[in-house]
Amino acid sequence: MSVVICTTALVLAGSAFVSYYVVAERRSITRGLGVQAETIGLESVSALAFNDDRAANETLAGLRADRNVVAAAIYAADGTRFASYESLASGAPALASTAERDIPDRIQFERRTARANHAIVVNGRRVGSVHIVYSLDDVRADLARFLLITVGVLAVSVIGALLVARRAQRALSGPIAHLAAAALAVSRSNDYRVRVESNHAVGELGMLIDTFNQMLSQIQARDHELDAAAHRYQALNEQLERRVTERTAELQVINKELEAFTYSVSHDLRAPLRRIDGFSGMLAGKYGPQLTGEGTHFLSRIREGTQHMGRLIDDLLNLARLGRKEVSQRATDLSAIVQRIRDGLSREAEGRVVRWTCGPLPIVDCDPALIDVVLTNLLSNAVKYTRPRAEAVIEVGAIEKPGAPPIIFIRDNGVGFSMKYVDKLFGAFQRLHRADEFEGTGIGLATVQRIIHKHNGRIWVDAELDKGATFYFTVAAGTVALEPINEGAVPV
Amino acid sequence: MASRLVLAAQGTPQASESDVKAAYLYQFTKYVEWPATFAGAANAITLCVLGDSGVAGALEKIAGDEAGAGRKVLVRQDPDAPHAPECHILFVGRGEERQLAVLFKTLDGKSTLIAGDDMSFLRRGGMVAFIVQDRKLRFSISLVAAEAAHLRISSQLLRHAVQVIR
Repeated sequence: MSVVICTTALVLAGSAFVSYYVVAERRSITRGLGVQAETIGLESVSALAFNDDRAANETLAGLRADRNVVAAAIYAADGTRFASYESLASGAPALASTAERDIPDRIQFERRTARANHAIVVNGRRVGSVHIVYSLDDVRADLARFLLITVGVLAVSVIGALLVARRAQRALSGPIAHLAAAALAVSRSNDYRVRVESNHAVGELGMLIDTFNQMLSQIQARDHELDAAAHRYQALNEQLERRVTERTAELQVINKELEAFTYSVSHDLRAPLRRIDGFSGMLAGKYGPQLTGEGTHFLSRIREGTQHMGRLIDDLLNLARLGRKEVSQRATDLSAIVQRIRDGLSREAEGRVVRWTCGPLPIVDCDPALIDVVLTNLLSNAVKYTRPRAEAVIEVGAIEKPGAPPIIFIRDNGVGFSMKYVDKLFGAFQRLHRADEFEGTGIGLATVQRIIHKHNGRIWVDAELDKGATFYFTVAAGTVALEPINEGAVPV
Repeated sequence: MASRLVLAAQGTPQASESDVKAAYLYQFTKYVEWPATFAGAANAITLCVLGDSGVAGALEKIAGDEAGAGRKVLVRQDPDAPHAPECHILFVGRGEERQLAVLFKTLDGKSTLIAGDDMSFLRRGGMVAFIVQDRKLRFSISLVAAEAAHLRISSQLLRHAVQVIR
């Protein structure tokens, strides 16, 4: 590149010099010939006047001093040749025997000669003309020499520039090429063991290569550390997973045992309870009238206790059964289930004002019997906890977003609860209200959560004390359809 | 004597001897300096011819051609003796030799350039003599006579003379 620029500059400079030389020479010849022709013209006036060709020839002979003048002539006013001169050296270039009349003063450059024409004018009258033929051989020889020198200088300069460029290439481009190749290799193979040799590189380039190598070393070190850390992390992870699996297995065993225990205990408790219930019933039937008022009260308290315990045992058995039960999923119309539950609950809420708002509910893939339990629990809770309200408002609906399972919600304007206790809400035997306020076993929401989790769903709640509560849940197993428009958007 | 000459100066190639002589006579005025004491007009050139009417006619023609270019040219044929010193140049034609003695006497000490034919004319006291050499009309000059008449003749003119008598 720099060689091309150097060469171009030199060629341009050379051309400029040569052009200038040619122009300057031309101007110098033009001026010199003009002066010569005019001088001869002036000296020839009298010779022409007195028809003295001898004198005119003598005047012309004076041109011998200039070896470049190869021929000259003086023509009379009528164009006849009056006097002439031809250099001995010349190969006798043709001198016209007659001159054209009235040709203007001018100097014509031909290939090897310059021809000057000069009119001799006296008192505004043309009395003759001078013609000089000037050889350009000397000038051409000079020009040739000049050109030769220019070309020589050019050639030497270009060769010098090439040599310098080659050395520069070896010292600069070579290492840079190495560097680029190494950088490419590193970026392609991520092999940070590559190093660039810097044997020829000096100065900044050497520093660059050293820095590059240092950088590679650092990256290599980092890479090692990273690898080690990744290995450690992986080992830790595997260990953790192993531990989780072990714990899960243990937990499953414990859970199974616990369930079996709960089931058997509940089951075994049933028989004595039934006996207490039966005999206390018979006692009340047969000997009730003989009992005192206090006796009757005690007996009814015993009976209430047994009945409550019976419900507890039933619920516990249900909860325990859930652990064993497989979820059998199928497309289930939630609207139909809600409708049926609502009908059942309205008998329970007879005499109360309950305003139901049921939005469209999707058809979801789930176990219909289990979802029935969920909805029954949530809806009966809503009816139960709105009892103090003059007008109970219960809303059931679905929130659907494309790409996510639909969220079913049950909202009521009941007594609600403080979110402080939300953690206890879904625990078994955990109750936020006193039993004399709202009856219940404290197992319902635990059962609900269990069922939802068995469906890989999620349940959460949003509530405020005295303002009501909203339960949300999803059944991640998916939706079959709600409306045609949602079909494609919902994952199955 | 050849009546036709090769004429290289002004005029046509077929110019007669008279034409050439007239042309030379006119050209002489450019190479000769007359003294301040010259008797004739200073702002005009007076060219006089004794005899030869051919030359006189040719001079008239030149005077006409040259009118407007430089000084006015007056041509007089056969001037009276008293007026002779007013001539810048007086050409004495052939056959007028008998008047020469009187003429030279009249012009003695005056600054009139006297021209004539043949070298013998110079020996008699003339200043310029036309001669024919190699079929060309040439001239000789007597510098002695010219200096006596206080005329200064340019070296340019002398250069073209066949012979100069000093």
